[in-house]
Formats: sequence, structure tokens, C-alpha cells
Amino acid sequence: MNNHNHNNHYSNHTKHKSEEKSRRKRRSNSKNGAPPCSFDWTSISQSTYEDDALINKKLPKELLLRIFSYLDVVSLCRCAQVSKYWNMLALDGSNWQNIDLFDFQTDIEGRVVEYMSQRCGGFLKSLSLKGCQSITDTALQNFAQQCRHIETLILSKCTSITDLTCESLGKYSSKLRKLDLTSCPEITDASLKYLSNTSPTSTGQNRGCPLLSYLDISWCNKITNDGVIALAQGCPKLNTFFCRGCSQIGNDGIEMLATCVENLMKLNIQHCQSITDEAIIKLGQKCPGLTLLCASMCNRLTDASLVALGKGCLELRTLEVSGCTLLTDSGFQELTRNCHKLEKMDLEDCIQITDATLGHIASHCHQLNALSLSHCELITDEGIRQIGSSICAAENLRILELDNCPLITDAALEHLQGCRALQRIEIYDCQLITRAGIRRLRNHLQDILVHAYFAPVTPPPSVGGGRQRYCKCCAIL
Amino acid sequence: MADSRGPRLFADLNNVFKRDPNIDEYDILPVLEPTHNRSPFLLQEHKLGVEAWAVKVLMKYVATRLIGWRSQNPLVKFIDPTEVLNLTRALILFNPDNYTAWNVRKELVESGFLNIADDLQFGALVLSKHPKSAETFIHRRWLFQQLLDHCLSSSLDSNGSVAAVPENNADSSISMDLIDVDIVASPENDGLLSMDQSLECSRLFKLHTQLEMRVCARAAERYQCNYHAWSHRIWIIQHCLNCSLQVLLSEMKETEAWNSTHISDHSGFHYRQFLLTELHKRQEKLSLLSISPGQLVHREMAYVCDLIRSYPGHETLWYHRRFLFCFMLNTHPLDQDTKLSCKSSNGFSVYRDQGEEALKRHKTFLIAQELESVNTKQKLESSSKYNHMLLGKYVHWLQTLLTST
Repeated sequence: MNNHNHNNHYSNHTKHKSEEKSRRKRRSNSKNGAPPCSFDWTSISQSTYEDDALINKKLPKELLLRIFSYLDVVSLCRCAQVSKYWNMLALDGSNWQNIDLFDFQTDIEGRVVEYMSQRCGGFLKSLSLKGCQSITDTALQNFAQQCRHIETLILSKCTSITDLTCESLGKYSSKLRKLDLTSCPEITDASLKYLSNTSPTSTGQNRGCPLLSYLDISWCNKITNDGVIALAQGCPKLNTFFCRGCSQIGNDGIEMLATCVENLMKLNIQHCQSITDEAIIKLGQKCPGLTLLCASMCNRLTDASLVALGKGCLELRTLEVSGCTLLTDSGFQELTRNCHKLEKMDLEDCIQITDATLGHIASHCHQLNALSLSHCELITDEGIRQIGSSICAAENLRILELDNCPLITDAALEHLQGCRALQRIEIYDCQLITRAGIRRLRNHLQDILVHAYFAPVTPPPSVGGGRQRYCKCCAIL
Repeated sequence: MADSRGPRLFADLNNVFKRDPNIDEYDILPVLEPTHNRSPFLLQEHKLGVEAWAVKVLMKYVATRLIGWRSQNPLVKFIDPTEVLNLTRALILFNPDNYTAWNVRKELVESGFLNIADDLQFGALVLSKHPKSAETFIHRRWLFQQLLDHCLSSSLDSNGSVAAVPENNADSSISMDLIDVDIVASPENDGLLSMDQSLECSRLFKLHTQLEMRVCARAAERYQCNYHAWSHRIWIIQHCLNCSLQVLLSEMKETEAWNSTHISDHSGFHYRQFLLTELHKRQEKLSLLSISPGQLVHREMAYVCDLIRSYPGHETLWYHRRFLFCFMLNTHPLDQDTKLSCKSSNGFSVYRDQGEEALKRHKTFLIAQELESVNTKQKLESSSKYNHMLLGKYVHWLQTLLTST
């Protein structure tokens, strides 16, 4: 933005050249009297007042607005200080369609949001207030009334908001598509009922958010199955639902979600420890479009879940089941036989899996690019050999996490020498791996990041450099 | 390029504390380079060992993140309170005099993210490795002040009668006894819940004060002449126990054994000197227990003489003896009597002169007695050269005293 600013000044100078000349004369005349700093200010303030700077004359208002619309919040605020005209243009609501206060400042008060919503009005489509802990319900209630065209709203970690905010959102924000309420501990089932327009107390005014496609209520511990059931019934367009750490959500909620929502694509139920195989089986039956499932720490899941996913969810690309200690090789056999599109698998702490699982993955999942086997203590070099010789390894595998696999040795690293795409490998706490093994791997894959407790390689000391300096010394001597 | 091991080491450290929240001791192991691809955090029976190479990497990572967060550097991602807490923990463990980290913890205590009891436990852990860390003791004093305020306000809630406390206490410290008395005195319908709260609060407070004594003792054990530990102990006695008589007496008894095994610890003996002075200030109360302060001082004198005899050649003991002797001189009952008589018979200069004369005579007598006892002992003992020198100094000091009176 400084460029514009600069141009502005520059044009002033060119335009007022004649005036300036005369003034210069005057200045030289009264050199002793007036302080030199008073020289330029008059002309600038005059021209900004009139807004006859060249850029403003050459570009129509619409184009300037268009240019401003590409700027971020900070630059816009800077522009608003250039001149009155620019102030008007920069603060025009149409520029403020996307506001992300996260990069800006997180300790703003509620009235800032209210003021902002007044300015932006219907133009505002996307607002992020991540981590603004002092934002209260009143500010957001006003906001919902003013900015009815909001589509994306990020309120994660706004810890003081309650169901009242969602009530207003349900009333006014019928265009809302994406809502993030991560770590707002006061949010309860009532919020989801307002959003889905199924609340018993809602009046005719309440329209809910029927277009809602993305909802993140992670760590809102007060939400239970009731809320999720209401949501499933009221928001059929939902395709992404994250409820990490909502330990009260169980099978009933997830099953309803699977049944009612037409095209569920991404589901995260990490830490929902009451969820069992039944919910996952329902997902397998009803959600063929599921691409992401994160069920980490759902430690009641067994192989039956994997079998159901293998039968129904052929589009599955990401599967995270870290900490699901009951899963075994046979479950993964069923899964990998059908889900060939898997790209990312997190099997951390699946302590029962052995090299057999790696064999299945190697022979079926050719798209795999990230695989985590941390703490899978039964994995040996043989399993890594199978991964290393698979098709995915040669083409796609970029990230491999093997930390805390105690049986892995340097031989495993040798098997991985053919993984041309490999960018990062984690081998923390694999105590049989030595420096020499890492060095050999690095000889084959130059750019790889090997994460071990050994110090990362420093560029080899330039032997020639030292010698040259010595020669120089000799020359001087 | 940033060292990728930093985040991992940080995660490892947090894991260690998750696995065993009751780690009570830690130290750095002299492993300068990682020899195995193994986690540098070793945990055994609540003891944590950290390989030396890891400390540098970890500190670099943790300090950058915490300071970045503190200075609201936009490049540093938003960090939630638990993470901040872990960062300060990692930083303080290896650099306990980092003011910023302690201040962050103070803020977290104030905002309720951090339990005072947990922070006290953490401070005790830090003291196990850095027993002389002044900043740690200062933080603990702040925590105790916090706990005190909490106690007082909750007992105020439960019964409005504590308002009398400040009047009773001229020196604005809060008497535990008084709080207790208040709670017992008005057990009626002021709301059982808040009653329970204040009871719970004072119970907790007592528990922590007791623990604090143990922490101080441990720190003193680990580092000789630990001025910070002993002055912290004095602070606790003064501010949290209000120098109550039982505490002073029991402390006298408890540190006796400790001091006889740490005969060169100036700070330890200074603590006993503090206790004696405080006891002397309360001699009226003391007389109710039929103990006279003179008796205490005499016993202490016998104790130190015995120590000097058993362990010749320790300057600390001689200095303690000097203090005791001075104390005896200045606080002799005769002294008190004359002062009293001065007050009562204002204007009768004859009495006063007589009293002063008697006092002077008594003092000279005492000094002469002490000189003689030292000299006779000297003959009895076949002491070392150094002890001889110390004794000579003491005799010289006594002689100057004699001439000055």
C-alpha cells in the first residue's frame, strides 16, 4: 500500500511544480525566519483536503474500491489514514467482506465488533474472531442483526459466548454456511437447536441456518446427543461435522447424523469415547461419500468398524484411528481391500497391528502419502520392507512416522531408500537406529528430514575454505 | 533452520509429567551428545533425569515460543493457557530465575487456570535442583500471600466478625489462631457452605505452611548457608504463622538437631537467633508457660558451648556464641528491672544512677565470668591452631567489651 501512498505524494509534487517554485523562492527569502519543516506540509494537506491527487483523478471510484477490496484489514486501516476521500473508500462496507481479526489482535472488546458490523452491514461475508475471549453475546447479537449475509463465522475460543449468540444466528443468519465454535464451553444443545430451527422456544421469526455445511463444536463439552439429533434433522446440507472432545455425544447422535444428512463428507469424533462400532457401521451404510473420518481415542472401536467402513465408504481418503487399541490386522485387511483411495492414515498407538497390516496397506493403498505408526510396537523391519517396495512408496509417500517403534533397525531405513517422494521421517526413540543408518538413508534421499534425537546434520565443513584462507595468509606473508 | 527436535523434546517433557505428576526431583545427566536414538528424559521412582544435550535444544525452542507469545508476535500462533503453562514449566525447570516465566504463572494463577497448590508443588520441584533460586522463593511468598488473602476473604464471607482481626494485629499480619477462633466461635446459621469453604481454606493453608517448612528444610539441606531458604522460613513464621509461641518453641526444638549436624551453616544459626529474639519479645506470654527467656538463652549457650567443644574450628559457632553472649548481656532481668524502675520513678535520679551502676557492675562480672570460662576451657582442650585463633579472637572481643563498659 505504501506504493499508492508514495504515488499520491509524488503526483502532488508534479502538479504543484509551479507553486512550489514560487514557494521555494519565498522560503529562500525568509530563510532565517521560518523553520524549515513548515515547507511541505501546507501543500500536502491542501491537496489531500481537495482530493485532487492524480491517482484519484485518473481512477474512478469504482476501480479504487475494487483495488481496496483485495487488501487485508491492516492495509485497509492504513489506507483509511491517507486522506478523507480514501478514508471513505477504505471503510466502505464492500471492502470488508472478509475480516480475520486473528492476525490482527485478539484482545478486542465487544464494541469493536459492534462498530464493525455497523460499517460492514450486509457486505460482510466472512468474519474470524478466533481467540477474542472478551467478545460477549451482546456484541454478537448485534452483529447477527446487522450482517445478515454472513456465510463464514469463526468464533473458536471466544470463551464467553453462550447459547444467546446462536439464538441470534438462528434468527438472522440464514445464509450461514460455516460456523466454528471450537472451545466455547458455554455452548449447549440449545445452540444446535436454534441453528437447526428445531428449538421448542423458537418463534416464527427463527429460520435457522438451513444452508449450514460446516460445523465445528469441538471441546464444547456440554453438547449431548439431543443437540446432534436436532442438528441432523435441521441442517441436511451439512457435510463437515467436527465434535472433538464432546464426550457426551454417543452412538445415537452420530447414527442420526448418518441417516439424515445427505452427503456427510468429513467427520471428526476424536475423544468421543462412548462411541462404539454401531455408529460407525451406520456411517458405513449411509454415507458413501465420507472422505475423512477421525475417530482417534475412540477406544471402544473394534474391527467391525473397519469392516463396515471397507464395505460402505469407498471414497475414504483420511482415516485417523490413533489410540484405538482394539483394532487388529484382520480389520485393516478388510478396510484396505476396498478403500483404495486412502491418502492419510494415522494408526498411532494401534498396538495390536503387525507387519501384516503394513503388507495390506502396501498392496492396496497406492495413493497413500502420510502414514503414522507411532507406538506400534510390533512393527518390524519386514513390514517397512513391504511399505518400501510398494507402489505408493515409490510415488506418493511423503510422511512416515515410526517414532517409538522399538523393533525398527537400520535395515528398515535401507528398505526406504527407494521412496523418492519421502520428505519427512520420524524415528524418535527407535533405539536400534544409529547415526550411520540415518547417514546412509540421507545419501539416497538428499532432501529428507530425518527426525531423531541425534543432532540434525550441519552442512559439511568446507575443507577448501580453510585451506584457501591459509594460502591467502601465505600470499600476504 | 529451526531444530526439529525442539517441539519433540517439549512434547516428551510434557508426557513425562503426564505419566508421573508427582516428580519430586530432577537433575541434568552429563550426556553431552545423544549416543542412542532414545528419549533424553529418564524417569525412575518420581525422579527425572534429563540428558544435558537436550536442555539447550529444548530451552531454545521454549524460550522463543514463550517470549514470542508474550510480545504478541504475530508470527507465533495463538497458544492456549495449558500450553503456556507447559512452556513456563519447561523454561523454569532449567532457568528458575526467569522473571517473565514466573510472571506468566502469576497471571495464570490470578485468572484461575493454575491451582495454587499445583504451583507450590512445582516450585518445590524447582527447588530440588536449584535450592538457592531467589526468584522461586519470591514466587512462593506471592503464592502464600494469595492464599492468605483467599483465606481471609472466605472467612470474611462466612462470618463478618473477622473485621476485628486487623485491630488485634498491629503489624498487619494475619493470625491463623484468630481465624481459627473465629470459625469456631460462630458456627451458627451464616451459611454452611461458605463455612465449609473457609474451614477448608484454613485447613489447606495450614497444610501448605507445614509443607513449606519441609521445603525450606530440604532446600537448606541441599545448599549450605542457603540464605534464601532460611529467610523464606522466617517470612513464613512471621506472616503465615504470626510468630505464634508454639511454633517458635517447636522450631527451636526442631532446628536444634539440624544445626548440630550443620555446624558451619551461618544462615541456620541466624534462624535460631531470630527465633530467640522473637521469643524474647513475647516473654510475658512465655512466662505463662513457666519458661523464662533467660532459661532459653542459657540452654542455647550450653548447647553452643557443647558444639564448640565437640567440633573445634568452626567460625559460625563462635559467632553464634558472640550473639548469645550479647543477648544475655542486653536482656538480663536486672536490665529489665532497672528500666522498669526508671519508668516508674521518673525524676529520682538517685535510684536510676544506682540501678545503672548495679547494671554496669553486673555486666563486667558477666564478661569476666565468660572470659574465665573460655580461658579455663582453653587449657583443657588440645585444640587445633585454627580453633586457637578463633578462641583468641573471641577473647579479644570480650576484652574490648569489657573496656567499653
